Amino acid sequence: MNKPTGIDPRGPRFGASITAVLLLVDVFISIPLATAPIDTEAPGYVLLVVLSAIFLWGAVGGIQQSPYALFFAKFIRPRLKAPTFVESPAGPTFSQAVGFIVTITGVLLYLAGIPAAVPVAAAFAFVAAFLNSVFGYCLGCEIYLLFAKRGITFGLEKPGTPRTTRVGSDHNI
Amino acid sequence: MEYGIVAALLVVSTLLGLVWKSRQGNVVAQSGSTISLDFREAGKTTILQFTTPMCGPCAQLKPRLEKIANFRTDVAYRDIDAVEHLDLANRLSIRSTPTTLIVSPDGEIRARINGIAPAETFINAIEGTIPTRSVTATEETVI
Repeated sequence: MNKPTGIDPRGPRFGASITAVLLLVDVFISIPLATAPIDTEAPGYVLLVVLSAIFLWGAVGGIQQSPYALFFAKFIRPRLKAPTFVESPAGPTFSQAVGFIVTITGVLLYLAGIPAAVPVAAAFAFVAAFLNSVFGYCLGCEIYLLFAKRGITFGLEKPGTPRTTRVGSDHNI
Repeated sequence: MEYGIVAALLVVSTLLGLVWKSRQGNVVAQSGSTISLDFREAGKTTILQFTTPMCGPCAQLKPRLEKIANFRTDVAYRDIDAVEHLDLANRLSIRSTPTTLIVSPDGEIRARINGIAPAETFINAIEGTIPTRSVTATEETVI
């Protein structure tokens, strides 16, 4: 029997959980930056740059190649039961791009002399990551759906892209 | 101040999530809208599920709805890719997936269920025995 293709939906949610925690930490430590002179060595700014780079990694390489997904696949997934369904990576990958745009905007505006941009961008990104991790609501996927409905898929739905598929609980994928 | 802002952020995010969650599985009664035979089965109540290729919950919901149709001779199940049937999805204001419509044997859309819900919710919507919010054809496009 062919193994079902697609990604384990728990992977992106795991990544969103870590991202949400890191973004919340970033909001906390970057609030003082809002009233301080620009400092490119400030931890709050540096953490947002790192998170932005991780979002870019996931957006360019695909959600399956993001560091959290690789960690999930190597250390967590083998300890879990097979998922009841697998999903297309297009939506979660697009979400990484949305996360990148939000965080890099914060980084660039900070460099442009708007210090409050770091905590504000981190806060916006946190809300999206929190909704995904706690409630399973993927805001980026919903935005992607708006584009996909108009036939704009950003090359994420190439022929052969795995579609969301239900799998039997006895499937080992 | 940092603690206050972080706490406020958590409260706002949680409220947003709870609002979204509370809308999942809501049954909205409809009347006045009809759907063509291309998308339903004649003489049967049709459970019409709108899906998209990237929708994980759609795959989760599908077997639940298929099972209802399998157990009842008067009910049929159809799924429609909202991306492939964009006109239909737009005309019916399908803004997210899964969205499920309960279509009567004569083609009238009786109810709309957004998101995932227990099988009982769909069965009750088919039977018309669940308290619902009513929407008339003025709010929904007739196709």
